[in-house]
Amino acid sequence: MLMLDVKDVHKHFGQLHVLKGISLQLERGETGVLFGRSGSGKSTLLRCINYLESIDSGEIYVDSELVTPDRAKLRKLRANIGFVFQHFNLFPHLSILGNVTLGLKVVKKTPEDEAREIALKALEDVGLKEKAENYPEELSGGQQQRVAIARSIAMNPKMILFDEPTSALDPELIGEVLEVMKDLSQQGMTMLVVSHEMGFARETADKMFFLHNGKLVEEGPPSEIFRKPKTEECRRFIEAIL
Amino acid sequence: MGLRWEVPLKNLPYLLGGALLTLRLVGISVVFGIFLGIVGAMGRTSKNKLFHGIATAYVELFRNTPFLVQIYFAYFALPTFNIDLTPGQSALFVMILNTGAYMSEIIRAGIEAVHKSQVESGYSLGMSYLQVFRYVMLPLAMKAIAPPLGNQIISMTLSSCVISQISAEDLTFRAMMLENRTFRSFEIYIVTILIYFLLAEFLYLVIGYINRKVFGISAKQKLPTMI
Repeated sequence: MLMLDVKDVHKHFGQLHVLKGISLQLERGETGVLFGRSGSGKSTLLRCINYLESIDSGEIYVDSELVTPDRAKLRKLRANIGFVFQHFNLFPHLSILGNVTLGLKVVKKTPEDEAREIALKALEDVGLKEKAENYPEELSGGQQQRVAIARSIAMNPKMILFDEPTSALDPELIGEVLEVMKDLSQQGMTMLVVSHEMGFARETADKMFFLHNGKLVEEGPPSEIFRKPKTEECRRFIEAIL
Repeated sequence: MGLRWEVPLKNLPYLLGGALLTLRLVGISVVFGIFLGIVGAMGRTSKNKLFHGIATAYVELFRNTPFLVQIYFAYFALPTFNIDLTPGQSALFVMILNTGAYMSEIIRAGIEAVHKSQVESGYSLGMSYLQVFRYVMLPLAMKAIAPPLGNQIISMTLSSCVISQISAEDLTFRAMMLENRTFRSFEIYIVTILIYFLLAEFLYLVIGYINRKVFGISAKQKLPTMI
């Protein structure tokens, strides 16, 4: 069953045509990896899926629900889609527990006790239960990103979008975050990940999407993409980053 | 010249009663002023043209006209429309509106300083604008602007002395009354200045305490280390 259906999406930033008719699909439980040069439109596409950016034309469906600017529908949609940012974007004024429970309490109206329980379970999943009472500034980058993932998991989303989740991390901290993501993927979470971590993609991705100048020029399972890329651009890009 | 300190000292309860009125007016204006300031700041940062326009007109009007004239207007001009306020009511009314306008600008600056990424984080969880404002923007803004907000409160306390001009019985008014009766200007105003000074110091302590307890400022916040 389709979880994500992106149909012919166009997006401009002023004169700049960033997305030139992108279409892609993810089945429930699949992990997709979006990659390509910076400026190719990967992050923009991801942000369009939960309408952090508007689109100019085309349609996006998440679990058969059309993504629209209608505020009430949008809030419901966003509560069902996790979003993990490059720079974690934790709330600095809240404890780790506060960060993970805020969405539950405010958006889902979960009672305090129950929210706490769900949050602690999510923190346990990312191996940070003992940090619940700490504040974001007291954690390493890798730990902060794991908290951000826990914040998404706690909402029990249908899908999680990852926008370059490890590119702001020191090299020695990348592994712990990828490990958590791999676990999530194996547990059947639908994930779309913008990343250049090719090791992760090879092991985890069901599908890979190569974006170039705002177009989806190649897609396929990692085995195909790595072994025999069809397009010259994709081949060169993979050679450059491997 | 023989100074007669017993004049202000004997009348200390009378003067302190005036200071108490000042303190009460300030207390009430702060509570309502912050509330108005939050609404004003929402308007100033709103994309809704009407809301933005009303908030801007309000803030500009009160920040760009003299406080004393605003007080005169409330006390002497409003009765034209059969709105009769006592001196104390007029003073309170204008102090709330005036301080609300200044706080709007301070809070707006705080909101604009909140990083877009934290706001997006809130939206991506499915929060509404009001929820993001309440749970993310406002607490972050308040923490950033707690010091200037405190200064605004002190500044309002001291400039509230102009309400004596419409015979609201604050500390300044009572000092003037006492002086008229006794002609001991020097002693009376020295004591009056001292009371204002202690009042301001007291408020600094209270504000500092609130900043530490509520916003965790200076207690937990790491200050940049100087090497």
